[in-house]
Amino acid sequence: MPESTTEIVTMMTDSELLRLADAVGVPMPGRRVTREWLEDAVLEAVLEHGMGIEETPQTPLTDPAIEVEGMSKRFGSRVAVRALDLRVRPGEIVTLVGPNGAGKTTTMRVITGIVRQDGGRVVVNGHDVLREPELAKRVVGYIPERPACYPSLRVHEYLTFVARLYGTPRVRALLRMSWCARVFQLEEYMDAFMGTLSKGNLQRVLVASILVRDPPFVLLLDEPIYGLDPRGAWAFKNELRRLRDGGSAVLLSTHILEAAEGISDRLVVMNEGEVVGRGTMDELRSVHPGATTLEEVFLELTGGVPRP
Amino acid sequence: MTGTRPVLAMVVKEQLNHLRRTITSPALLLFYTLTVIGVWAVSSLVAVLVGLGPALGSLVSLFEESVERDVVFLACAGATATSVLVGQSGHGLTSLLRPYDENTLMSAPVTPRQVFVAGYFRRVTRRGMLTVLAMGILLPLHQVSWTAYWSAVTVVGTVVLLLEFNYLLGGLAATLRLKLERRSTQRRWQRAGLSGLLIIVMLSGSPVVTGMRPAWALPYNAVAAMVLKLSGVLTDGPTVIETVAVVTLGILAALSVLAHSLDAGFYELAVVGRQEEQRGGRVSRLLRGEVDFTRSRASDPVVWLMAKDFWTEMRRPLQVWKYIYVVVGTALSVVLNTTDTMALGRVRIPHELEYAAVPAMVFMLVLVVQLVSVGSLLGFVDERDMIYQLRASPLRAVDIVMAKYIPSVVEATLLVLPACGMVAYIFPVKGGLILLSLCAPLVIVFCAAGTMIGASVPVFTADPRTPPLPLALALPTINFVSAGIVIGVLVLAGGTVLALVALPAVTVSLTALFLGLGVLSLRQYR
Repeated sequence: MPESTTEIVTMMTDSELLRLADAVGVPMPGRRVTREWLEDAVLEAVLEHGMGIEETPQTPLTDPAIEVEGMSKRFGSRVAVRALDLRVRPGEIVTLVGPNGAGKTTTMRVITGIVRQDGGRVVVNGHDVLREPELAKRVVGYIPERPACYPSLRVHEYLTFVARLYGTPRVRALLRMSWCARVFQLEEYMDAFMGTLSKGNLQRVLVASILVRDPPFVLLLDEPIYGLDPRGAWAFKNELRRLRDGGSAVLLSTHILEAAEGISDRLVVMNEGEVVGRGTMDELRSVHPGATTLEEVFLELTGGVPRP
Repeated sequence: MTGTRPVLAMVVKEQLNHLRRTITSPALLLFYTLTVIGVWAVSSLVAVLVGLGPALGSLVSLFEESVERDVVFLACAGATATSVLVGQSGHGLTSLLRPYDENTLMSAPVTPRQVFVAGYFRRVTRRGMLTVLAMGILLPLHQVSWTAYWSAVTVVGTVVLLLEFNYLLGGLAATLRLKLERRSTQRRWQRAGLSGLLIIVMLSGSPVVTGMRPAWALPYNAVAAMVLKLSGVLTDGPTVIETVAVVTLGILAALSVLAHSLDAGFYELAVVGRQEEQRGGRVSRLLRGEVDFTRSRASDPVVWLMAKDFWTEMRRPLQVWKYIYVVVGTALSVVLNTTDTMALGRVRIPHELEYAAVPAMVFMLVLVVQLVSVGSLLGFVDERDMIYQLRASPLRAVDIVMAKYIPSVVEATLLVLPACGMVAYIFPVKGGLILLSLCAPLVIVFCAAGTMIGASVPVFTADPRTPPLPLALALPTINFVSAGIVIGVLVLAGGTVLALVALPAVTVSLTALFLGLGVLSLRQYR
């Protein structure tokens, strides 16, 4: 979080502050209290309980945070992913790019433990996803290609639920919720039902639902920028860089090549279930000297540049 | 690891919010009011049929005389075996998961068991509410007799419990199939596992086994024995409490085994779906709905839309059985009604009850048509989010509505045939054939009402996949009121030439009204 606990508390709305006061057990002297008094009392209680944002316990991820060795997955007679090797280290953003049906989403689902691989090994934060799925998932933050959420839960209820699911202390979750609401312009939607949100706002809530938890994360984001407006996309990319710098590992999957080019440390190009290219942007360009942009590299690797 | 409590707390919160949203939304409140009025109307209709009192009382003796003990046991075991057969596809099991569980629960540090328990809790809550509603609708039966009411409530309650047991057994069949698939790629082992389960169920319901009392400890046998005891066929059957206890224990056992046998394969079934292998002959591909309907020579987009709906429906598991049922059921009912040589013989209504047979038959017909026309509601709902794309297409709203309405009428007509035959067999009254013809206007009107409700779903909710409960419950209400109008007109104009004009007129008017409202709804999507 770029801001301190003090900054977050002073910028909280009245209802957020009251919710936090309730969570830290600030006794109300009367029916009317001044905002300044409440801020001071809440801050004092938060810091006294050691629940400030700055006091988040730091448990670094294992290196590599994601390790995929010879992973294969078939659906009936169709091979979705063939002998995939992939490593993502903490403090790194790796992007999977590839045409539709390349196996990106299946790869994401296998790493999250939603789909079982047929062969190979997948390890997340030192835990095999088949043998110790719950331990592996403790650090995973996943946003699927088609985001959806519980329509009858309010935004703040959903965020609280996710924080509880991952064992995040309530006070710290409330502080982060307030911060996310401001950064992702969700203040006016915090009491709205998820079912009434637009696609872009839903995407922001899902991003916020990861950020309310204690970092570091292994983020698996399938088309995360799709649906965000320019401001939301900018804030999101900034947040991703900040998380990376804080030791999180990020595996992105996107069709938006400009976004991938701007944000990724490394790229993995997939086609028909196989890796057809990998490396930094410069490394990929050096292998394909005729290509100057990621788009051209991508087209070269996935069937050639179409002739007009 | 996270405990189950926060997951269950979320489900409870979600359900309460859902209820609160429904009650506080003016449009949905209107439908709630309609539903309450509808339930009241249905209750009143049942109360009017108080005259059926002696008939209901004698139904027990009728049942006692005409039904074989072994048939009831086999029927209950057969229902359970069918659930195993249907459940092994995994569609029933994965219906507990919603698309949004993927990014929240499936990827969270909770076990598939916890996710299943949360989903099952949601299912049980909804089923419970519907059961309470059903029992409320049955309440006027107490005017006939408290015994009849409690018998009906008991049967409904235990059948609901048995259905839950069957559902869980189907889920177990699905997990068994998944585990066998993982261990062996040979289909014969997978089939052997499933067949073994089916044989066990059917054998345990066979006369040899059910002759021994310990066999009644199996839920389906316990329910069969209880029904037989209530109807007087068995004198030493289990009591209601014993039956409920047996079925509940069965549910708990199946729930526990199923919950503990689930792994990530449960998620995979839901997220990826089952990839049917592309093999088999022309006929089997046809039966599985694997037909390229785009080769159709029809040029009318409405026909295309109907073809798309038909083949999409056929691609769902076991759809072909619906049509096999139509053929076999119709043939059976024709044989039953035209020959006296069947082992069952014809049902004979005692002379003193003949006066009640006609209203009872009409009531049965209304219920049957109501049941078979529910599919008309799903024509629009099955489109899911594609409905917006369809609405944005150059098709006229009226064409879309007709493309949904016509197939639903055809399907309901096919499904009503065997059922009508059975009703005619059960109530052999004078002029029964004329009464059966009443099904035609009822099918036409009920399907129009279903289409209207289906078309209205996106007007009331941003999630066109899930019709709000009050909206879905409005359908039987509207149908019963419509049936009342149709029958009322027939009674008023009965015996005169006027009936020949009045019945088609009222049918066409109601159909036009409902379809018109459907078209209007389509123009008001949010």
